[in-house]
Amino acid sequence: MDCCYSNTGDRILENFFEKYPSSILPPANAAAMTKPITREQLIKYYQLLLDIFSINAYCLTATVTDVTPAEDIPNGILIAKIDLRAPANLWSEKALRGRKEAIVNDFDVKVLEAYGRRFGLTTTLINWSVTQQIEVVHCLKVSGL
Amino acid sequence: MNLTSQPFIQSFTSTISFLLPDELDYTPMDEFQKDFFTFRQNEWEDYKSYHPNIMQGDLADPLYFDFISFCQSVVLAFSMRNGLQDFIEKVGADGETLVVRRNEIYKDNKQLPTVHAQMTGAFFLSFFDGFFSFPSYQRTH
Repeated sequence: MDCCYSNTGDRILENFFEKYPSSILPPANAAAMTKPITREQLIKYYQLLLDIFSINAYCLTATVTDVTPAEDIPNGILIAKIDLRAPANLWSEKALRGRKEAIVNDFDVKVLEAYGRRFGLTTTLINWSVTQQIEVVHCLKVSGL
Repeated sequence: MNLTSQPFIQSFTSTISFLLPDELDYTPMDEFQKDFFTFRQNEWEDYKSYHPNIMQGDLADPLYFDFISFCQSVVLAFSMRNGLQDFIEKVGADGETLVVRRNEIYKDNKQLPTVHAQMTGAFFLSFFDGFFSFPSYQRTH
């Protein structure tokens, strides 16, 4: 932690804590936790990661909800619905999906997928849509809980 | 990177979109840059006609970021479909070249989009790793 108290580290941390409320960030990975991650914790940590997007004005709001059907819960599956209101990639994601491009700029999905991977979870985007012309909805299926 | 004044996510994702093809070594970066410039140029006037107040060059303008991100993704996808196993890349201003050979692990062009997506997410998280491990965060869990 000494590196965090260098001049540069102090400045970055100061800016960071000014911008983000304290304890906004989730555990880094499975090793930072004493027990396997639960679905409730995963949703909570997803929200913390999505808050980074809204705090940085990538979107107006970003919220995640657990919409897992009851019959899937015993199988260790989580279906997470992400609502991004007015994201910066509103038009481009729609255009890319319309063209069926292999590269889509759904950065929220990529970040949550990478985070789940740190806990040995597999994440797949199973649905996306645009509602009210301003909101992008991503549905993720997470397995391995 | 100034976290308080730059459009962080927009800057980060734009940067990553260029870093990763270079990291994955499936296309000469000088060609990639040229393709990106040409595609952007071809699409710009049409896009601007729908958004006359757009601030060109300003990633903080969501309309401009939306456009750039679209162009990057299209050019990335195109470059991956046509990915090379080895090639000569022009580097530097004096015409020097480099022979580049793709890592065998990534040899299948069809897997490049998935690898790119995973690396994008991983790079994003790694930016915050220095903060994740800060003791006060560990204590809350």
